[in-house]
Amino acid sequence: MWNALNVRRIRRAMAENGNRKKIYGESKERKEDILLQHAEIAVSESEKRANGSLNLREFYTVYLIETKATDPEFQNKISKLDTVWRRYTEFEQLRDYLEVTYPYVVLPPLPEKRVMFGWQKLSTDTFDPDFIDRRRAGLENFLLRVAAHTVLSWDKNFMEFLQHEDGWRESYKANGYLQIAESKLKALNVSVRLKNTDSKFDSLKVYSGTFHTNIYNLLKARSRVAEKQYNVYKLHANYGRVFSEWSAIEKDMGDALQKTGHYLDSLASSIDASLEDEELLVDQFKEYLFFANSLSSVCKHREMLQYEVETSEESVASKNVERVKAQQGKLGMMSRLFGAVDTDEVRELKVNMLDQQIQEGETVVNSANVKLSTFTDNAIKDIDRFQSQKVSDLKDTLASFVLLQLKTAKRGLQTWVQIRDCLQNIP
Amino acid sequence: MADSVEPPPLFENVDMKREEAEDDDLFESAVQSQPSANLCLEEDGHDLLNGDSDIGEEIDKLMLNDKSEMENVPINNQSTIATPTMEEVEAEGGDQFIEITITEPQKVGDGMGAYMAYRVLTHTNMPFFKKREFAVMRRFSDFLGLHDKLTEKYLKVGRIIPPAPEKNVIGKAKIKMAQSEQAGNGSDFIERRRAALERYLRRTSQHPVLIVDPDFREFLECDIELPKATNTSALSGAGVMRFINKVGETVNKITYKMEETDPWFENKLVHVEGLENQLRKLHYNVEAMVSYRKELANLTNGVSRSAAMLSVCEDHNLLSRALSQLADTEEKVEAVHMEQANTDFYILCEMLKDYLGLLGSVRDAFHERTKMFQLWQHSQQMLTKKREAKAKLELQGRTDKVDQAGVEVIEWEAKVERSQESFDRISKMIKLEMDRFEKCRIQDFKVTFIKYLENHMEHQAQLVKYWDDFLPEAKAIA
Repeated sequence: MWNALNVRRIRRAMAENGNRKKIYGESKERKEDILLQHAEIAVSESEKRANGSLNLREFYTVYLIETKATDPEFQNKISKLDTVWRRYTEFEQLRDYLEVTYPYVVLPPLPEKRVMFGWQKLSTDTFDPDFIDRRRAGLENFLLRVAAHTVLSWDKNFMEFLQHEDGWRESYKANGYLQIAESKLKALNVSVRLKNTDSKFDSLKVYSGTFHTNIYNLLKARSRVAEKQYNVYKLHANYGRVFSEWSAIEKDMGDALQKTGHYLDSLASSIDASLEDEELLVDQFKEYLFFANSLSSVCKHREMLQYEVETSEESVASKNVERVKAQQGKLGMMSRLFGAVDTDEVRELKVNMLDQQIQEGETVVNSANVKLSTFTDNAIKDIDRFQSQKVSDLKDTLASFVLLQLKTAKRGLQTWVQIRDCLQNIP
Repeated sequence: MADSVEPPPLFENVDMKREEAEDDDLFESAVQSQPSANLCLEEDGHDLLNGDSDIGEEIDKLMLNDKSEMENVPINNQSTIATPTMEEVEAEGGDQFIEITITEPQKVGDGMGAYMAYRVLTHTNMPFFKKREFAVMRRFSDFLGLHDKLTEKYLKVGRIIPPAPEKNVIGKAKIKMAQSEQAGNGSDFIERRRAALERYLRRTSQHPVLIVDPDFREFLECDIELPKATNTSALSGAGVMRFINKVGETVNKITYKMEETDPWFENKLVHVEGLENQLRKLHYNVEAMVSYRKELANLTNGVSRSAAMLSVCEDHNLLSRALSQLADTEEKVEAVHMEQANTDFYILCEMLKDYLGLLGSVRDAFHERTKMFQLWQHSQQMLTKKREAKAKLELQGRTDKVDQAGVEVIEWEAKVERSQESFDRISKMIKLEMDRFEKCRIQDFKVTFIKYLENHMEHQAQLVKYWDDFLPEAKAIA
């Protein structure tokens, strides 16, 4: 069992190398200054730890993050080599913080909490070594993507996360980020009705929704196909067994039948490796499934800002109406009930108060508008970046998928040719 | 692609005279066992009635002929298996060949009285057939009738008779009820039956003795509608009788243990049973494979559709184009899987079923031998009893009864001798048949497997090609 796990890890490591190169490469193309150009980040290992007393042991897994400075001039900001152990919840906290601080960025997603689209071969246990390994790769991917982002990579908290194990935890608690994040993110789930909606963002929202649904369906269908394929290939193992038994009672055909049985067995076991490789590609696809969620959050954030603008404008407008009424002396309960009119002094008092409020209100409106427009600009820039990244990533994934199918088909063909030659030798 | 093995001629160096003599004997048996006039019997002007009506002698002659045939015939077999298409099969080589195809299933009649008629087309240059090429219409019960007749005649002698295709009451009723000519829901069933009937006729025609049987020839040649073989229908009186007989025989098979004098038979029986076991397992697995492949095809359809939807929602042209190509490729893959499932079924599955049936016939032949043995033993026992009775009577001095007892003793001695002879004969016959059967079987299997594999390889190559075609597109996204 351990041997198999190690083989898988080696193959995965090779795939990850390719992944890292890809992310580095993308950033180099854009000639932007990001953390990745000065340092290397890797999530290399995982460990199971226990919390609590002997009787009520609660297990969790921690992952080792290694950060190495590749640029000697950079060393004042990052020491030569930093190693930190972090658990999944801490990653979640980091991401929540980033989301709250940079709401206009399409944030890279974390790997899934639970196995989605699981099927017969994949266990859904979160302590399964395979699952842990995939999660580890996903976490590394997340860190790499953050470190490849022009804005995100320079965030102080992010660098703290990478370098100081306990220091980050404490500062996180001290700044009360947990509460801020929770409240802000809860607010996101509230749906708001807007008067003017930006058409571009509307279409983006719709797009992210359909994108998510379609990828979801695709992944689900694929997992079913993978399961069926697995069954078909394993059935060939049954064939192999029957042929081997049969060869025992045959005289002339015996030899050929036995060889056929062996080939069939090898065919049956070959599907394991190729399905595993396919799972790695599926992980890349899954990343984009979650990216779709990030995209829709960006749209939601913008909606929130727009909502603020609109509410503040509304309040200014209503204050203006009140001012007009105050001018006429018709403001107040008395005038509404009895039609009484305020005295001049009272009128002036009220008008002045309202003027002040209108002034304040207008500043609020201005700042909200400014926030909205900066957000929109930044968001559009980031969304463009995201789209081009998405296209190139998906193209790579698709190409690898096709290659994999090709390899599997060719290998199958080879085996069948061998079996045929085998049988042709029957006298 | 498929290598066609040239089967040597069925009859090599067989004297024409011998053949006619053989015909002679066969006619004799035909005349005796089938008093109903068959219009198509060849009138060679031979003396149809020999004085000697002893079946034993006739069988002797047949056996002599057989022996010569067997020695002269090397591995003989056809090179093809029934395919789902209606192509005619070329069996080449030699002066004498026969090739049978079944085509054009047609629905005749209406309502519950309707039935499917099949056109049986024969090409041959064997001399004892009247023409080179002829065709007749036959219905399923005719086939069953033919099988019954052949079994009646030859099973007792220990020949292995290919089994007839099964009846399938439900499928049949569906066909009868179908209003239109177009077999929508029944076409599968019809196709399977047609292929099974074709294989049955081909296998029977391979057997050198069965092919010259007058019933068989009449079946192939005569254009008239054969008398309705009513006792083949499932629910008739004769059917019920047959069922009861079968039950009795099965019980007999299980209970009677024969003391085996010849180890050859024991080994062979074990071998046959083992083979049956393996084939059954294989058959089961192939059936599972067929259903899995069908499901795989459906699921691939699912993938193709969702990829298509994804491509629709994408703006970027190249990506969406690549995705829609993925959808196309998956659709093609699905078609390949479906085809593969069909091939699995028609080539492999049906052949395995045929062989399971054939092995059943082999066991029937073995069982006949066991019955002969039983008969022999029984007559021996009777003989001993009669001898004892006679001795007792002699002691008692009852001379009148002694004579009678003596006559009985002689009678039973003769019976014992005869049954022993037939037992020996059947043993020899079975050995011969088994030899031929084994050779046929190995050849058959080899050819079928190779055909199946080549088909499979073709499908795999198709898969490779589809993915290969897609690859440059996927890479071309800038």
